[in-house]
Amino acid sequence: MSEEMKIPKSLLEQILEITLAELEKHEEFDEHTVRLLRESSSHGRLTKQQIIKAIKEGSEVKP
Amino acid sequence: MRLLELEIKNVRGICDLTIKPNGKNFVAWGPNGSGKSALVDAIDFLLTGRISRLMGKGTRGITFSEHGPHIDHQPKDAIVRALIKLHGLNEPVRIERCMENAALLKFDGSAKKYINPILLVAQRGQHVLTRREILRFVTSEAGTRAQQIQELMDIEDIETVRKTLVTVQNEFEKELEVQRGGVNRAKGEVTATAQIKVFSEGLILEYVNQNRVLLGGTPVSTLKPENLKIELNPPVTMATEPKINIGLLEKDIQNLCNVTSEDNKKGIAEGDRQLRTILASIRSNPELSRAIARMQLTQLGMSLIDENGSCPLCDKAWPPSELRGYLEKRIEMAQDTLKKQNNIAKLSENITGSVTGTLASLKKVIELTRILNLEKELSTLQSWCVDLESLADVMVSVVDKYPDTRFSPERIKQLLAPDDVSELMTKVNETAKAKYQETTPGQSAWDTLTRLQVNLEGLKKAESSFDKARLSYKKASLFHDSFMLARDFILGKLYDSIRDRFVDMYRQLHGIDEQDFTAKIEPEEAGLNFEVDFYGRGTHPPHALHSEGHQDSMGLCLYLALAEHLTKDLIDLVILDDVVMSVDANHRREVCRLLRTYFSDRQFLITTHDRTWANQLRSEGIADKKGTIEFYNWHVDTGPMVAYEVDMWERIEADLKRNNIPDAAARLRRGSEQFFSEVCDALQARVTYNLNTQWELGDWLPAAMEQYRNLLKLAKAVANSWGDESGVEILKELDSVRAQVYTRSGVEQWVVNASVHYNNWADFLEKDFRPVVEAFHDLYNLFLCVNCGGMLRLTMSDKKPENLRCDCGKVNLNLVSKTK
Repeated sequence: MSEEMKIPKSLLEQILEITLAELEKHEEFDEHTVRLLRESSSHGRLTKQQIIKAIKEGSEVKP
Repeated sequence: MRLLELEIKNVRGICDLTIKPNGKNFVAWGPNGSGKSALVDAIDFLLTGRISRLMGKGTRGITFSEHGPHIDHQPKDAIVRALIKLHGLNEPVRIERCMENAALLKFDGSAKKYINPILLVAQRGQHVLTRREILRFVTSEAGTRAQQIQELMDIEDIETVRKTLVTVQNEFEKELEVQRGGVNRAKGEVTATAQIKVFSEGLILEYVNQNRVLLGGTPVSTLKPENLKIELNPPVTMATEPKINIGLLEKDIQNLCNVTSEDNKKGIAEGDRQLRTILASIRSNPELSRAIARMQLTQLGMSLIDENGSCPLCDKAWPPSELRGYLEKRIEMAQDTLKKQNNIAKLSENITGSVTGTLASLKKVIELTRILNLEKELSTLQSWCVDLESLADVMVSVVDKYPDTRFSPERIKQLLAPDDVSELMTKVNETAKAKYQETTPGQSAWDTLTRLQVNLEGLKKAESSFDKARLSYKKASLFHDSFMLARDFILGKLYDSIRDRFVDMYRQLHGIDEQDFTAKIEPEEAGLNFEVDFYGRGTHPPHALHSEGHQDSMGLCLYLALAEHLTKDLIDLVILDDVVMSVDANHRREVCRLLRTYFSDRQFLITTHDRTWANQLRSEGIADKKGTIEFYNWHVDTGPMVAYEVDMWERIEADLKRNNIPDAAARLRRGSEQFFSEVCDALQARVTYNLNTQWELGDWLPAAMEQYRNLLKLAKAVANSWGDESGVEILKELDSVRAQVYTRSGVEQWVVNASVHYNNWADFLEKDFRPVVEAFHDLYNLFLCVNCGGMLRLTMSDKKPENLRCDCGKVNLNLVSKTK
């Protein structure tokens, strides 16, 4: 393990990373929504309330 | 991370214990209840701050603070300390955790960045395999076995997120339905006011302009709420009671009367009939719905078929052009279903328009009826309104909910109206006319535009909410779909690598018997599909056809494959807590080889209640004597007694120095019984069978020597057949040594009745017994490799001797003659 060694990503973290990178490519997802989802997923469990809040906030303004 | 030292104070069944694995494999053995598993609990606690065994199913009433410390001790007294070696750090690190503050691991802060990743992986529990877990692997139902594997892989949280995303998607779908219903109702308000059957901007605009002309205005070209009364002046005479406009209400009453007109009924009945027919045809064939869902993928697949015609997704071979034909058929089926879906949309739009328009007029008339105090009529109309609201809800998701059993075709065709709706409307109309004065055409036009303006504003708002809901639903669907694709990609990759390693290890464990063994480990729906090959007869669930012993070894191989992948480069320590219960002796030896050859870079801590297995672990070189301890005589006040395996020769030497020949003799006998039983097993020597299954040195030793002599004789004959003269000379020398050592050790004496020669030796002096000990030492060495220390072993091929060799290959005697 070197100095640069980071905490290994769990399988869920790896999956969410790919998922969010994919969502960024879709025009339906604005930067704000993806940022909110990314923040929520990095703070532990991604809850229903967090996802709904992020999606609803992003849907207030049409992309 | 490797464990160098471990100190346990007052944890579970242990009062005070220090062990020093020094980074090497370590074996703790002892009978059940001797405190071995407490050793595992202590390491588990040290790394995670919890004890897995005290958590989960079947642990109700067990608390960490009460049952974590040794009995009668407080959490503050329960401490585990360790000296560990970490990758990237030259100096070992001391870590310590106390049950009083279980969340806190004490260590030198400078090691934080090295320790944190380890703690994270340990939290996932992937460093300990207990018998409880392996039993869960092998004895669980097919459905829950996958669940057990998922738990071990800590992918339950992935499933939790998947379920959350499905819930979110469903919630947004419901919201979308609600908003779609809102748009339908808002459109109904507009169509009711404009007295048209189906919402049409052109017709509404025409209606607006007719009313504008009546008010002396000019036509407008766009239908916007703010445009309806632009540049118009209100009529000069305003109604005394502006809320009641008889002219407008008459239009609503007329709308309701029209519901039962023959034309209307005919139109609705025909739409209802067609809708029911199409929906029934789709529901009778689930393939149709699936065909639509897969159409995009199918089209993509078609574009990717190459010249050899095999499936671009799974590589399955297809006869030329057959796959293309099959996919074309599926697309055709999907297109046919799409046409049907379009028809459903069109038919339901017509019925929905009539339902929501009628509902809008009905609500206005109900308001009027209430003002007119027509109680009986009010009750009938309210009941109709409730039914119509229900039908409007059904129309929002026609494919799922239509037709509703509450509403027969007979009732649908007149939009659930009461049969006497005409008489009822006449009564309301006449009562209203008697009470309120007629409105002027100008007033009616003005009020119509006002109402339409409100209706259109409502529609605009409803459409805006619908757009937001649709966007949210699309986002939720994209999130879910992207997550599933990413999940299948990541887990698929993981499962593939684990499957390959698992198959490889299982083949190694079962040798030639399972050389063609294969397995399937793949994501399936929300879970994981795990099936194994049964002797080339296809794959089946592991418990379907394989024996319990095979299932046990599968569990072990699968765990090792998983743990290897998930703890790679972080935790070298793998704890196996009593995991080879049902594995037979032959396969246990293979387990040893597996651990040695596949996991030479790992440190194993193995507990067992089985002395034979503990000895096997030593004789197979998994652990040395310093890495083996025995737990015994556990007592509630003291915990277990612990004995390190001290070298037998050192102990005998100590006895000799004290001139304690009886002890030395007894020790030599017991040790030799164990050693030569293992030699007989390794050389496949023939031992005379006893019905009482009790054998002693007099049985083992001659059998081992006889087999060794025979094998040397065979090796010599083989060397001659190959013309290997130097080999023959070496074998002659070996045989000569064998004979000398045999004579020196006085093997025959040991064969005599044990108690007789035991007593004889008891009378020996140190100078008499020492040569016997030295001879036995040499006797042992006949069967051990000077290089690797491993025991020589006979290997067979097709039930014939193949060679006599050690694990490192330094000793390797060919036993297969040259064919003539």
